[in-house]
Amino acid sequence: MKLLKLCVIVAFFLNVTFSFSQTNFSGIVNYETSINERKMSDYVNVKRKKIKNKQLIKTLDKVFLNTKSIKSTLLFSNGEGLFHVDDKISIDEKDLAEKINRIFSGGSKIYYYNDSTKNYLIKDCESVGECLIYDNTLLEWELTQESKIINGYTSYKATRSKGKVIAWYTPVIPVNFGPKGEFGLPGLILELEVGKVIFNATKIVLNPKKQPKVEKPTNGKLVSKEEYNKIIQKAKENVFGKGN
Amino acid sequence: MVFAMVTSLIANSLDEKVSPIIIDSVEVVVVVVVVVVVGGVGVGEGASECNAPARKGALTLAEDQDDRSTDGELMMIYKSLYFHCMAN
Repeated sequence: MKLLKLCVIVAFFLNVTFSFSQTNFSGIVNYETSINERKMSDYVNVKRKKIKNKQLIKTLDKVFLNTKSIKSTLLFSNGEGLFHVDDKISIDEKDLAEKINRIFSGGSKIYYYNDSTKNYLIKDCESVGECLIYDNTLLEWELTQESKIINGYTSYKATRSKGKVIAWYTPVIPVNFGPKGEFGLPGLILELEVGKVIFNATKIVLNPKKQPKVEKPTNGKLVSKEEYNKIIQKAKENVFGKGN
Repeated sequence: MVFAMVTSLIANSLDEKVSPIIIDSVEVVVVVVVVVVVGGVGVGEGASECNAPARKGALTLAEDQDDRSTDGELMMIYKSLYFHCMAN
């Protein structure tokens, strides 16, 4: 009898956990991006000294010493997610540093995640002048036991691409997504070091009264990742020549 | 579209290997649009002074960017630096 009671209790909790993670679970996560201090220090102490063009140094100084953060949002609902930068880049924007930081943060790209159909997409309307929607492939993460508390959540460190990308995720929020197209970790990404910037989650609202609307990106040419790379490579060669 | 075409035109016109550029009415319209966009600075004026630093700057900024869309970001950074240079 005792064993039966125990089984019922365990089954109940498993059911609750499963329900929590799979259905009617939604949220809104706000992030802020800033220049990664390690990258800034690397630029000031090493790379800056190798550049001869004074105008270029002035321009890069503006980018690296910029203190204004960029806001972005991750919406998720029932296994689907959408990430975007909050303010779009305008062509006449005068603050170059802010503009570059926005590009680092995702620019005008839309990142779509769907765990149910395993469909992960990126919509890019700026790189080559036409809207392209392409597959966002899973990049393997290496999980570690290193942990820290972020916004009250115990978070664990994971890395990928030989430690170039570092994510801190919390298994407490069972959502496999994060900023700028990152996915595949056993919990929501609260902090992400990628390229020259760091994303920090500033606000997390779980199950808001008004359920966030997550829509698959449309109005773009659907291409495979390989096709997208070819298109970008062709545009890149026009500017940078072959071999860059 | 305008950006892509103009970037291509600029790059073609500045590369060491000179290739013939046939300017048709569509391209002329694109150039006129960009002249307006960058605040009256002609594409020819200062283009050579801006191209090399914009390329160098873009490569420096994008060198360790995300490997999901590195080259797309490189192109966007190049465009931002180029137009910033042209406008100043």
